[in-house]
Amino acid sequence: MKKNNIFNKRLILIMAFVLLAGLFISGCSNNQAELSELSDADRASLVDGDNSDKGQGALNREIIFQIGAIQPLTGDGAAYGLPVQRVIDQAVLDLNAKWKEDGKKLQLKIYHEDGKCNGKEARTAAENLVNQKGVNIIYGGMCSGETLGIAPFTEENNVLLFSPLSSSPDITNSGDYVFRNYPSDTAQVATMIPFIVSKGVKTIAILSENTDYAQVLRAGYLKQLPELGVKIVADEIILSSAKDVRTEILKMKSAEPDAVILLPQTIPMTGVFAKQLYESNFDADTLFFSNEIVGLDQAVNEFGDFMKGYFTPEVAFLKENNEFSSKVIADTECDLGYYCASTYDGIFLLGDVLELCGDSDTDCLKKEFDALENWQGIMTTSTTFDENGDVAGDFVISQIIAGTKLRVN
Amino acid sequence: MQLLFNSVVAGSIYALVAIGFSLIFQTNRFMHFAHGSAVVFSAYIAFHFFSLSNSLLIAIIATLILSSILGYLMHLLIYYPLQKKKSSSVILLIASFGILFLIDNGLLLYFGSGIKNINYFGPLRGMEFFGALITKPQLIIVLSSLLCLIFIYLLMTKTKLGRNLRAVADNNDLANIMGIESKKYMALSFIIGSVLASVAGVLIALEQTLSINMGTTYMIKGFTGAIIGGVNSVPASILGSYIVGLAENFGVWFLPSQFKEAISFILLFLFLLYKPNGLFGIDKSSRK
Repeated sequence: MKKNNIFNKRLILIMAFVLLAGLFISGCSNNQAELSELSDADRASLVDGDNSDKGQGALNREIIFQIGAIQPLTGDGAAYGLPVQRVIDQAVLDLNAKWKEDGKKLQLKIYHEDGKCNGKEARTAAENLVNQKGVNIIYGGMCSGETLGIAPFTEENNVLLFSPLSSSPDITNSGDYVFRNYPSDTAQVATMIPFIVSKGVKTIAILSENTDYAQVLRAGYLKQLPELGVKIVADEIILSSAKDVRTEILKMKSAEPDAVILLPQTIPMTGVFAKQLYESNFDADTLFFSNEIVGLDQAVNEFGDFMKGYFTPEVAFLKENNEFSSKVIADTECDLGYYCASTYDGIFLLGDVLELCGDSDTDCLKKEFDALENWQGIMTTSTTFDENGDVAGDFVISQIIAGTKLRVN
Repeated sequence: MQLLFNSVVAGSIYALVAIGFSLIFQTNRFMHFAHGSAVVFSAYIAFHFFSLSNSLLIAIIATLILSSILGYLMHLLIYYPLQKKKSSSVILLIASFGILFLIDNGLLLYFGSGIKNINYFGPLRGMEFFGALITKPQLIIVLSSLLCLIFIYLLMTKTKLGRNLRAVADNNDLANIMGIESKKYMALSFIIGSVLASVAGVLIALEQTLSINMGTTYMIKGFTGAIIGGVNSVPASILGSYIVGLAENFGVWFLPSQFKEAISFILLFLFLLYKPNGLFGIDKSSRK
């Protein structure tokens, strides 16, 4: 009887080994930074006393600020989550070096967590950062879905949430402690629609990924294009796990649209859309418009041959001919245009505010964020937050030709 | 015609996954869900060796060898010790999930999450073929799958190896009495199943951008195909997989695209509830 017991020691050992090994590797792949904890004394030195002492090394020893960062480190979103993580780490290094050079005994430490470009996962990551690491500031998420998933939790817990990449209009009203230095999608749609109409498009098909970000853009087009006389003849929503969208493309093609709008969430999905659209031999005079994901340098480098002639928007606030930007982008291998810039500058913006408030007084942090006016970034132009924590947005449109982007407006 | 062709392309990949799954299920009598990871493992190995050598042939050979080794090791190190302990199929199923996490996360750790793409054929426009547009990689997928299916059919019906495999699948104890070393054939089914998974992996790598989690998607499709056709019959699993391809593509023509995944799941639930032996599977209980 004992011999047949499936729960004997050796069996349990084997099972435990397999599961633990899986969990161990899973844990490793989260790329969590191993960092020392902030001491209570450090924290006290920041919150006690008057503002002039805060963060200025008043205790004649180094003060460590800690923040958490949430970005997609696994899954399809990692195609931009990982470069963005490298940019954050580089920005933290550069900020610490700058503080040292300026004689300020300050240091910024960051804990990375994987939000998987998913609201639920991002919320769990935020809970870990706040409850286990004790951070009061979260830098992220890097997908709108992540930010929207985190915001209710950070609001409940008075945690400051600052996203350099989230663009969903829903974020505008997601909380008092939510800020972002990336313009809302409404600005993107507002830029693209007159351009589409100016091309004489009468009928259009939309191919979008089923994510918060892409669906907000889709809703904007669905609402505004018919008002301007453009008929939506096909509207296909694709699940993020899809690898084969040929039948959906066939449906769109059979509707014979003048133009197609592509709205993927990730670069791999950009590849799925672009490759299969290319293979489906759309009429040569069909126009293709997209969101800014399609125009990211990484997407253009990987799939540019499939996207000849595509019109793609990009945030207009990138400082041009900036040697420093080129160096950062080369060092971090971040080929994501404005994404790298807003992420890099966001850390310096946070650094300026941390100097004034420390990392625990989120009301002070919020006040300073609200008070910022024309904050000048290294890679981006001025930043001012409105009453909802949003920045003003303006987009330019480029066309993908011969594997590169050429500005058309 | 285009819809039919799209269905055949999708069904061909599902069939390759389903046969391996079905073969392992028949001989070992448990659901080897880590089979999806074997597909992903193969796709990444093909990508890795192609990147190193720039030779598709080297990539294919390396993938076939390494995938068969992976299949054998899964059996030898995890499943066989459990089977030796007379573990229930539930325990083996849980172990298969453990292996799935282990392989997927191991691949993620080694390869990272960046874009992985074998751009062997470059940008290709579709070619007209009986009124449908097809590309070279799609044609290769359909023909390779067909060849594999014929090969596996001949192997199972015309060779001693196949007969012994079927004997083990039919009645393990009786096969042992007849002098067939069932342990050997159970291990062999893992090797053959993994080789088939590696063919699917290479074909996917030739056609698509890779992602770690795609194995689960293909496993679900293959599993659904096997259930619809009949999980205890290899030819039935093949037919079931093509039915899944057809149902998905014709279904999504009439329904909104978001229902594509739901179609497979609805079919799976319906068959599990009302026809668990599938359309063409063998009802072993009726033999008693």
